[in-house]
Amino acid sequence: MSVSSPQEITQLLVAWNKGDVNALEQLTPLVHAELHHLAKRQMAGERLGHILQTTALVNEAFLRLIDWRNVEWRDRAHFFGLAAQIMRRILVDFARARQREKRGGDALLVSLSEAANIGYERSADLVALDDALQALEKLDARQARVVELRFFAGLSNEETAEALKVSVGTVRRDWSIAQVWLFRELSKGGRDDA
Amino acid sequence: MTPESYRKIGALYYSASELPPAELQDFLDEACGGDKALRSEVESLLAARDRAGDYFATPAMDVAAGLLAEENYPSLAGQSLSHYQVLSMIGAGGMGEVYLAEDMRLRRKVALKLLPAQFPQDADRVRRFEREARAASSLNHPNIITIFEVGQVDGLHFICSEYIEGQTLRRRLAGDQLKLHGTVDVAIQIASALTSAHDAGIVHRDIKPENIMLRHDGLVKVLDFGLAKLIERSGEWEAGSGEWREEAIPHSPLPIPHSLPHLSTTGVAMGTVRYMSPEQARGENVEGRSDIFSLGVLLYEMITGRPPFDGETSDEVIAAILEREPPPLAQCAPEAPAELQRIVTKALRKKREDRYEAVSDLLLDLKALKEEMELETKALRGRRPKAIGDRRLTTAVVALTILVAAAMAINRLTGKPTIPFQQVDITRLTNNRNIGLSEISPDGKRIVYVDNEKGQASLWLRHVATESIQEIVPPAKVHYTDLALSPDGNHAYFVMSSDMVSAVRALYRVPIFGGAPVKLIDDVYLHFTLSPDGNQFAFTRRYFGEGKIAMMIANVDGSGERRIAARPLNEPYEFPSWSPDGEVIACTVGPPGREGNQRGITELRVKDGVERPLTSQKWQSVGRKVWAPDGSGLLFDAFKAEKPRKQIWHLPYPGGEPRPTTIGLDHCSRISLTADLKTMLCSQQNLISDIWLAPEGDTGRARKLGAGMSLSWTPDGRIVYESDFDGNRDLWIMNQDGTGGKKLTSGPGRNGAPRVTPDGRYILFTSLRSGLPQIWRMEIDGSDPVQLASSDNAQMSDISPDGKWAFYTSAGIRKVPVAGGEPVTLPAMHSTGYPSVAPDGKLIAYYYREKQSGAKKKIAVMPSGGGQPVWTFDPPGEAFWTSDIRWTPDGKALLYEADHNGVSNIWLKPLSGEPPKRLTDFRSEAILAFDLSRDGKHLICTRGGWTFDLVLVRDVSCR
Repeated sequence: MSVSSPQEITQLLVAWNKGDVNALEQLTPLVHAELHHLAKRQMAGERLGHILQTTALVNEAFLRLIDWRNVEWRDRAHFFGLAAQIMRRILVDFARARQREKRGGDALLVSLSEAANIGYERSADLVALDDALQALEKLDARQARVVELRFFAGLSNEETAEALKVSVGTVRRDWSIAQVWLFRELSKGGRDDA
Repeated sequence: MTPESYRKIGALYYSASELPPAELQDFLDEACGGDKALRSEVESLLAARDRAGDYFATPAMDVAAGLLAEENYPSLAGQSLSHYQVLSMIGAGGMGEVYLAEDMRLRRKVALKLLPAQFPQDADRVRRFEREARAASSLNHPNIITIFEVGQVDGLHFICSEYIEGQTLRRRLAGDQLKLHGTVDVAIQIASALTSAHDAGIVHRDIKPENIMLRHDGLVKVLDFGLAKLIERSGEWEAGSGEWREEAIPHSPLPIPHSLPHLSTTGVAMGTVRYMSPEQARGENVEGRSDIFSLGVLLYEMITGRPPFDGETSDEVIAAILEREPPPLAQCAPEAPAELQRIVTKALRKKREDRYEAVSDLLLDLKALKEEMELETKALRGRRPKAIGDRRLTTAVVALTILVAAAMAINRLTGKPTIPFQQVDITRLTNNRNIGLSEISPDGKRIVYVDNEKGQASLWLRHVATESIQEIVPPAKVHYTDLALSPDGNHAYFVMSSDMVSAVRALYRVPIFGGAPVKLIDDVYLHFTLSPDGNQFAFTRRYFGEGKIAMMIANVDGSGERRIAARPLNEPYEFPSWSPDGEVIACTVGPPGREGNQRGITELRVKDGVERPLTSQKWQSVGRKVWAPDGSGLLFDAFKAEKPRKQIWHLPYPGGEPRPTTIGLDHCSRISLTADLKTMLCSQQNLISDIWLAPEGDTGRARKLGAGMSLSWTPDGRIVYESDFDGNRDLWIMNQDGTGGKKLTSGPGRNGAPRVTPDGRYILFTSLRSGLPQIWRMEIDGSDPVQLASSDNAQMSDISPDGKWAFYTSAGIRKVPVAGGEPVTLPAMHSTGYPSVAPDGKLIAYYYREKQSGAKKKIAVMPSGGGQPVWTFDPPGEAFWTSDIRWTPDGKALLYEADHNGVSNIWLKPLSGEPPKRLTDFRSEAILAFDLSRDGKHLICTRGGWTFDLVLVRDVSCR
């Protein structure tokens, strides 16, 4: 798969931000290419246990997609935010598609509490998380942004703080509260099991 | 939910999450007031905290990539592979996929692990993998997964193992917090598995929760032994060929030199960073002690629920592993005992030479801890308070203080060292009992003692004047090794093991008028001593890693431990005794458990640990020492190898010759003194042992021939036996009706364990006449004694049927020509001894013990030239009083002694495999020695046992 140049991606992001729906269509394959790259590494035995695929790694994977270094400081923060949103969108769509494919119409969802018990062995359910994140947006919009930046874009606390123009302490606090809130919402079992 | 209430809950949660657990309740009480809904919200968030962190630890990008990766693994479910029918996928990971399958031949469920397709195709490499996987599969231990087959089909390499129904420890950790008992139990099972693997030379290298399975019945199984190494090597190999390296992590996250190539090319290492030892993180050689570190990490995480070394990135985790000390356990798990902290700290030392030397040492500590925890639970349940007024005590304390002061003043005034107890009045307080440790209170009014009746030990208080007794600690199957009273007489301190065999003990305090024992200090060797002001202990502790025993000092509440001196483990300090001026501690030193005069007395200076011998004299044993209150000397019981019995000795301080006192007490030990030096309490030991003859083995017709100890038939039907009839333990000979007794040896030192040559010419025996136990030979009439072998701690055991060789025990089994010559050590695989030669001379039966501590004696048979055992037998029974084994004249069965339910009898075990049957029918006492006549018709045995009684000695001399 041919990977577009960083400049191209940057332009696409800007375009998407301006309301160009086609830009998303063009970005998605790029993210998918990166996913395949990561998946290949996992299959090659480099099982990215929960430690290793930490922010730095994914951050780098993602940042390879956008040439943020060429963007002005103010815009860089802006791009972080954009990137996080688009990553969320693409990844959740991707996960949703897998779910449909795998389970057919009436697939059995692994209930979140079970997934939680499995712990590290089972990864987060991106689709369910997306729903919970939408609910969080209504309660605390900044916290939802923090989750996007930290979790979907894989940014560090510092980068997230930069993107949101708040202190690192605030990011740490928001991330701490949002994580536990989302997790608890997901494990409440209020969701249907079908 | 409104944004306002969300904000409030979030803020409270965040504040609460930063608090130490102890302050949490108060904070919530105050912050939530009566708002129960608010509080329950906050509490439910707090409960989800750790699991939430884990849930979000994997960034979304990687989660999505994982979905893709999963899809691309071709599933084998439904297919057959060799003779396995693959049923379903259990999991997939860096090591390949794991499937549940059915072995079609054996019709059992198995787990099939398929190695990654990228696994090297190189034939040499594959052979090496298979060889090493087979080595790992040779491990046979209940806590190690059993590998059935290592094979290859259609180019797929697979490992077939037992299928374990349960969950991984990782999954278990994500659930409710493990209980402490459970944690220790899991750790013990893992350590046990590692001990066995390390013994076989296999290091696991990848101990982590994912590799530990917990079966539903509680059995723990360790997976993937040695595989980490194989995969890792294959990674290197691949890296060398330039295949994987391109896929290595695209940035260089690790600031540590050499770590990047190591980590980035080894797939397995990736998921394991948190459990890596520092040497592993640095890419250095990995060995058994690396597994100890990883197990320490695991243990920490099980106890506290969080890993000891953590960070947002692998570099941070590695930096923590290399540089940081984890927070104390108590911070997250206040209920964790101090001993557990000590164990974890020792396992997690950065330098491997500071850790446990072997995982077996860690295992011992964990087991001892478990026993202690169980004991404490039991003790807490078993306690019942005893109400006795405190007023009497206060009076006693005042009186006592005056007494002590007076006694000290008088002794100082007289200014000369006095040897007390020149004229005495002796009272026996108990009669034919089994009394253990004892201690008289400084005012002489009370005695605290351990009662060892019926195989259980209990602690009692006896009022001297009224002779009334009260239980302090109820009976339990434990062992008390030292006892002392606080200067005010209110508390007893004691060292106790957690069971009858455990070598790990702790120091406890208990109020003597009722109350529960409190553990003060863990891991005490045997003995301790109180400082004269009663504010500190000195005690001994073993450091197996260093091979040392240390003299430790701690405050009387157990705090402030420090080490003042250390000696080699095989020459420990025993019976420390703190001097009245507080300056020195007198100790017994020298190798224990050995015959001969090898132990002396030294003093240790408290301020700097400098050791100085107090006398050049040596004894076979030196018991507990007590100081004269003015510090002018020490009184102690001691035993010289050449003397028949223990005596009470006096050693002047700071210098002078030790002398036995004239106190007419035999076999007395464990002296304690009152503050006025007028009364001494000690324990008197008496051996009651009689020789019995059972004609044709019939116990009903058994008759007592007289007192005696070890014994042997002569070919002409007389009996050679050991007796202390006239003071020294000598060998005698008598007719089988008990008449015509005649002494064959005459001191000095013990003579025993006689065996007579088949021609009836010689008696071979053990003698201590040279100070050390050696093998001697003499004519049947006692003339011409010659020493045959000069071996360490030699014990005579048997003579070959041709009369040419004497077999004896001396660090294994040895033989020496009866005619004289060089001794030969027999090759044997176990820790062995007490050989008995078969009538045809071709086989030897002997006792052995397996390696683990506390292992029971077992019997084995090997060729008379030595070598592998051809037959082994684990004799049922609870105790074994003698190590004598005899063959029946037909060579088809062995005779041995065993104690069942407190009754000791001779048993006959056919070599054909039939169960043992009881030969004698004694209903009481222990059998201490036995022999069978050459024709197999008549049995002689010595029966009896030790009695221990309390004796009170009052000084009636005028001083």
